Amino acid sequence: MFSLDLLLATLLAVTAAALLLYVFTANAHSFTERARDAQAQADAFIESENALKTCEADGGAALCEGGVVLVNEIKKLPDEAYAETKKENRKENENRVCVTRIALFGGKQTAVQYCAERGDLK
Amino acid sequence: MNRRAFVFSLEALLTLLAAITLVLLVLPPTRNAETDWNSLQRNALAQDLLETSVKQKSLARELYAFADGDEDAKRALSERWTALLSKTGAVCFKLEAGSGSLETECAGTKRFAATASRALFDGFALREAKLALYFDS
Repeated sequence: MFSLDLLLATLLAVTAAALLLYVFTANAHSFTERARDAQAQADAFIESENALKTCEADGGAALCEGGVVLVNEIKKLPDEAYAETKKENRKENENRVCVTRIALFGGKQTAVQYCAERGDLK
Repeated sequence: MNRRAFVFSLEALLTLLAAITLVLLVLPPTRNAETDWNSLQRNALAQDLLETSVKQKSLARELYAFADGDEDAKRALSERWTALLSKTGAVCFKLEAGSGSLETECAGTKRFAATASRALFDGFALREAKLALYFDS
């Protein structure tokens, strides 16, 4: 009787612990994974020729100064729109990870923000 | 309830508590994941700023001039970097290189600092550029 009690309690505790551990580590893992993916995508995008081409296609590299990179496209935003974007990004949910980098576009130092949504993280 | 059943229940409860305590002790510090990510990102920004400055010739020349104490270079750097960093969330920065030193006015409280350094070589002298970006959260 005593052993059965002990066994059941231990099993219950181990099950609960495993469940807790799974939930916590799954969340942490997914955030870290997504963050790492977004970082890799941002790095690859910013350092690629595509970023500069996209910038140039948008009307010249100068336009990219102060621009925001949003999921594979560079947009020149006025300051107030940029502020709105930043505000939105502050409310980052678990589906969205944003990376801000400084890169050279047309020889100018430019702040670019790459935001990746869950669906874009492959 | 007899005494024996009470002892059994107490034993089971103690086992349960011990197991839960053990698990809580070994759980990874998941709540810091986002903070660590921010800190990593901000340090990457500081690295980006210095790296792009030494990579591009005209920007590097400006940095060399700043390290030589050139006031025009200091003013230009201050204006350009302040505008650039305002888009990244940094509230101010401090740059030291050679005889040049620049600390901008803070638009907030300095709560977090991200630092980076690079060796500057203009063909004549080797100097170190040290940058600190400050964030208010």
